[in-house]
Amino acid sequence: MDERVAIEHLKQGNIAGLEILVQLHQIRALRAVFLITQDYALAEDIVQSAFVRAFERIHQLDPDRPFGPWFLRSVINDALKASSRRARLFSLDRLVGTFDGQRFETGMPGHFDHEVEQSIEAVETRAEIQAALTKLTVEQRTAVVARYYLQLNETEMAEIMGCARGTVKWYLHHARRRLKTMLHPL
Amino acid sequence: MPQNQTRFVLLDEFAREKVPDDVDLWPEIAQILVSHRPSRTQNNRAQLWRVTVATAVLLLSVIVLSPARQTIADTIQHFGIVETNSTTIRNGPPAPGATAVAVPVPRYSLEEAQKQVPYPIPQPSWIPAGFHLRGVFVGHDGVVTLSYVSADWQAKVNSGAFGLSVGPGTEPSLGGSAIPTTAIRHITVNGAPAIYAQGAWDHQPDGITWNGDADTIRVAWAADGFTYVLSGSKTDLGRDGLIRMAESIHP
Repeated sequence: MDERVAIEHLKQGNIAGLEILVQLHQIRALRAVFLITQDYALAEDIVQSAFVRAFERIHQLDPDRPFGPWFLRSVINDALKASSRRARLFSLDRLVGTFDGQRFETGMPGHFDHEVEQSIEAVETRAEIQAALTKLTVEQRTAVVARYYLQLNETEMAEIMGCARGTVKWYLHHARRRLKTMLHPL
Repeated sequence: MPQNQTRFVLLDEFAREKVPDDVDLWPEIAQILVSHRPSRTQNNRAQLWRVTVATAVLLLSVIVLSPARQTIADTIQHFGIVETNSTTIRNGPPAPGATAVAVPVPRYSLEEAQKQVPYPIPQPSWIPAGFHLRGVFVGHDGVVTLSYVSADWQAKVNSGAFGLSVGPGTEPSLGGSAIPTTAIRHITVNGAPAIYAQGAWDHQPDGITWNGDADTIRVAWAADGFTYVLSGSKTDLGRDGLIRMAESIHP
């Protein structure tokens, strides 16, 4: 069963169609939402709810357009809203402080074998990415994920984020400037 | 490596750490869709019955209940289970008037869910080691579904899950799982008639086929004016373990 057949089944109320769409799109959506929210449990809730909503609203999908972008727009919007709500509840300083504590505990002893050194480096790189992403605003983080993880162009980003292309460029520009000082490869 | 590719790899590696390749949201999404049924009121009961039957026809195409087994079939319908005499079901055309009834359903804590239903939510006093209650879904018709997951559910490495759906009343209620007659075993739960089945539907391009070897087990029964459906997936619990869990369920 391919995606178009799955969508036809879904439009007829057959949840077998939804199962196929879940298998096709869940990993990419989950990872994108996790990168935006930095919270796996929240990401899972958002993506699950989005699939259930897709089941309910599949008739709104233009038959000539693919499911992926339509679904991602819904998921990214939900991630933006959820992250904005959470940002009002939690202090970013607290999150960054947690990261700093983890890094301090990792320590930097004088001698490692190569494998251990690589492992520590990988852990630190991931921690640095997490810390860098956390320091961005929700909109900047979403722009970075949409551009570099989902690899969307500016028009697609504007559609998914529900704003003008100029706004997307502005978010991305400022995100890159902030990340440049925190994370060299970005 | 181009700079954009480097950025993708860095983000992807970070995301993969928390979201591995074998994550599967489908079992829980299916559980949400099944547990979320339309409300039942005196005014819309007849209409609901027609829509429910039409939806069942849509999903199953043909449901044949043998007259000789009518009493058993009635009982099975009480359990939210649809018995079908076929192990291969072709996709049928949409039934007139059949509508999707699913909307996003939030997951509640047990305490939050308890405030929304007028009866004490039953729970098993015994669950397999390593499993815990993750949350509760509450349907408009008062059906609650308790979701139990294994400790490693976040890592999603061969993680199992249980779902316990409980609803007030024993009137016919379709829309739950469809089980072939050949897969159904008649058992008892604390002395009450019950059914047990192992298997799941494999999806094919033109329909679905029952796979009796799938690691999905369920037991359904009615007691004290309530209907219960307990199901497990990837749990390695087996029939006796599932019955033990079912018999430990009390308000």
